[in-house]
Amino acid sequence: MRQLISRDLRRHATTTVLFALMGGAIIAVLYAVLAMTENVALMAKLDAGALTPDMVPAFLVVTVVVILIFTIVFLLYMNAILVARRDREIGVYRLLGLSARRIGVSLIVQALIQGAAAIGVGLVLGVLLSKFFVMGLVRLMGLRIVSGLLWSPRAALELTALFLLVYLVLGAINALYVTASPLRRPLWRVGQDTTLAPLSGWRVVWAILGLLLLGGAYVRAYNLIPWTFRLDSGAAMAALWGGIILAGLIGTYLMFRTTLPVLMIALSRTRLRLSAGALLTVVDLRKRLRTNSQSLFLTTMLATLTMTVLGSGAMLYQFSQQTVRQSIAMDAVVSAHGQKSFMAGVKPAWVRGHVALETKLVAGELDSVNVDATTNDFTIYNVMAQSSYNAMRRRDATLPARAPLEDDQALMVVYGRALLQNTWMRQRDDWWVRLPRTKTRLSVVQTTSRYPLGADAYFDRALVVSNRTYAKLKAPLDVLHGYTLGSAQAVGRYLTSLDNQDTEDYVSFGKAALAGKTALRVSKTAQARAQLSRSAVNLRRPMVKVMNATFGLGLFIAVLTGFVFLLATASILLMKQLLVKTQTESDAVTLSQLGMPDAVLRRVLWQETLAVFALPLVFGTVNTGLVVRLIGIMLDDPGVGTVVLVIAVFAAVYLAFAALTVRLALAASARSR
Amino acid sequence: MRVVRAEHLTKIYGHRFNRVAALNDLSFGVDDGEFVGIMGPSGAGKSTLLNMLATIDTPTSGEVWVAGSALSAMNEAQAAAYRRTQLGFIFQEYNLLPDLTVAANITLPQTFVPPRPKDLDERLAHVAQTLGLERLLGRYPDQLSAGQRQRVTAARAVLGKPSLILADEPTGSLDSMAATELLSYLTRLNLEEDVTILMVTHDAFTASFCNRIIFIRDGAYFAEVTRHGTRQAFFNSIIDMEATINGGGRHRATAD
Repeated sequence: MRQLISRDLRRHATTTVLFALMGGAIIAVLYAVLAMTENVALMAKLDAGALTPDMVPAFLVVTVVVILIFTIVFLLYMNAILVARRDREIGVYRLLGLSARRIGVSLIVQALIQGAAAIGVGLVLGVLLSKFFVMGLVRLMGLRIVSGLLWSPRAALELTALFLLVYLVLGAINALYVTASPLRRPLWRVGQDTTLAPLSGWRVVWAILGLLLLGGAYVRAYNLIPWTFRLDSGAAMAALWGGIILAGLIGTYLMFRTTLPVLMIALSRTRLRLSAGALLTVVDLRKRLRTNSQSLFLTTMLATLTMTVLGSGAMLYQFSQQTVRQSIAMDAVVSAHGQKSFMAGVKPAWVRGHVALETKLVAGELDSVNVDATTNDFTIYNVMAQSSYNAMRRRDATLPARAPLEDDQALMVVYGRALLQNTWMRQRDDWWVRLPRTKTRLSVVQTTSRYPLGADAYFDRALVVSNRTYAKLKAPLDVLHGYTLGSAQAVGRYLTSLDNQDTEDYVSFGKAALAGKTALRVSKTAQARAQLSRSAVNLRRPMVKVMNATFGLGLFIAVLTGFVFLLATASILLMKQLLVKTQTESDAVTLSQLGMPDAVLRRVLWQETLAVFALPLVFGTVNTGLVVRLIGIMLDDPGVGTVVLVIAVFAAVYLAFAALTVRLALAASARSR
Repeated sequence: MRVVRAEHLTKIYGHRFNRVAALNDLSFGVDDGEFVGIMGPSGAGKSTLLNMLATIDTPTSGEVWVAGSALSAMNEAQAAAYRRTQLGFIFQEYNLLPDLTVAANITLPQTFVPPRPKDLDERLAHVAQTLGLERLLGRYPDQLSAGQRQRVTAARAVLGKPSLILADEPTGSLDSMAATELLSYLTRLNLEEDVTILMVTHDAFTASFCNRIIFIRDGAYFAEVTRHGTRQAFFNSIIDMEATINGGGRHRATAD
């Protein structure tokens, strides 16, 4: 028995070691996260900046559970692939008289040995990783905490017990698979695989259908927001969203099952057939696509999921960084009312800089010339002169540039510009703002979502107008003040205490005021009438702290789960490729005997492997691009820099796995010759 | 002209204290246009010899020249080029690629390295006609009978106009009718296309289609029989020699 086990382990050394390493890598991640949550002192420090108490450990534990569930599914899938490949060998053992029970026991022992190796590797790696994880999380959350390697006997024991059980179950499944399968089946000849069915008209129809479904889903997903906006019923919306997902799934599957194979057939009839290397690549790819369409589909979906998780995590993080900048542009931004309570406790030495922005509060209606009925879009505008705006722009270069405005022109500042311009503002052009009280009409020549001094200081929208128009405008003044403060600890304490008071400004928002029949009134307390409010004191540092704690943790969790998903998808592709390579080894030997140079053989292997790795990557990138674009519009377009970086890292890891696949395949074929 | 010249070929397997000589000072030659058979009992060294001619294995000592070039001096790339241009293979197990059509299988080795020969299509048509494969070119290997598949292998071997065709038990997987058909095709190639063929077989009937049979035993040259009269007479002398090599008298009845 012992001989049988050690011989089996040796014979499948490459896949055994790889499988154990994959398991080990995931266990390492799980250990590092669990050890962090077990460390009470560390968690207390991390929680200091969080929105709610126990936010950090709670989210980390949820992450562990998600990764755990995914890992178990992944191990089951991988295990099924690996045991099916041994059908023939096990069939021969049984034919020669080894009882199914003994083979079953040997498979269980082999699984436990693999599990023990994976746990050992995982725990050692996990202890090493823990320090990096803490460092990464601390940095993303914008805190200053130092931590060493984390050793948590409880986390180690929990994971050991759990994964021994998991591997025991894997072994038991393998044993059941062997004892339950009739002896005849595994002894069917392998390697003598039949030729694929020739190209038929129906297949071309399916291929075109796949292309249409997927293309249609992409077009609809690209225009999702404007099209959703135009729909008025919930059922139509559900049909649109559900239709996209359904068409996308079916289209992607058909793509792998028929469209791409048909494309390969077409390619094999072009000039490519004139060179053996190209012809073999195309023909082999067609076969792999047909026979591995399920696993390619699965990995594509996993790659989409991974890249979307990573990409949206990165985008949200970028959004949080940008939101702070756009919401409160200086250390403190206060209204005239808020200035009193703010300045009450500020020592003159703390203030490094001060800037005042004069605006006028006006009610206005946004409308378009191209529509007969009014839009009824009444709201409050902070109107400022272009000279004030330009002065602000000299301090903050992120405000968009604006050429001198005519007297009847305006630059409009709104929240969620990207979303607006993809929904109702997109349908018409020639927007203008009517200020009913002064009977002014301004045409909107530019729209932005960057507010001077930050959006939090405004009631709603803002308008930049020419100096002359501003001077003529009769309306109540609303002066905003921005302060730059020093970094002494006393400042921090003062800001924290101030942040807990809620000082608000209110402005009338009733029908008469909006229509210009009564004057706007700004007050310090809420009145009974309809009112619009804003925070009178806006402090940047407390907001940065909360944003970093929340979105930093979010990005950390996204990277963790993304890493595990990435490892899993790349591993599935790697194992599948290695298995295909072993099955087609005899073809490679024949080609070599017929005089195909080794360089050409290697090139064919490279092309095939890269193509198989590229497919999930390409489709995954397109899917992720669409999802991230959608999120980007919702978040007012925070930029895609980090997302591109994430996808580049993802592609680089895939490429590394492809290179590893080729190397392992070449090493395996060198050994077998 | 000599196509194959083997001199003092020796191949020793195993460790210092447990040596087995698969080939033991074997020398022979094959002339241009010959159809030579190699026969001998199991373990005589036939496969080892074939592997050396195919540059899959190297001799411990001695040298083989094929079409004037010494095989042991070749590096990996040169060996691949030699297999591609100078040799044609016919294997017992066909070794056709299941996903390529018959036509693609036949022309494949000629497209391994550019440039693609300009007259490849004409050559394919010609070979397909000679071997009776015209109507099978668009099919896939597993849509063919065993005999047809072996003819495809023969076409693939002959298409590159090699100096030498190596046939390893080409009739081993065929029934007697398909075997006879294949052998008559090979004879035709040998006569009409002037192809030199070296065939390893253990079957006297198959061997009787050759011009000359070299017998080896225990890795060394044992004897040779040349065809003079009818195939029947040649067959009889092969049977006699087989009996001698196995150390007995004439046990077997005459075939045909």
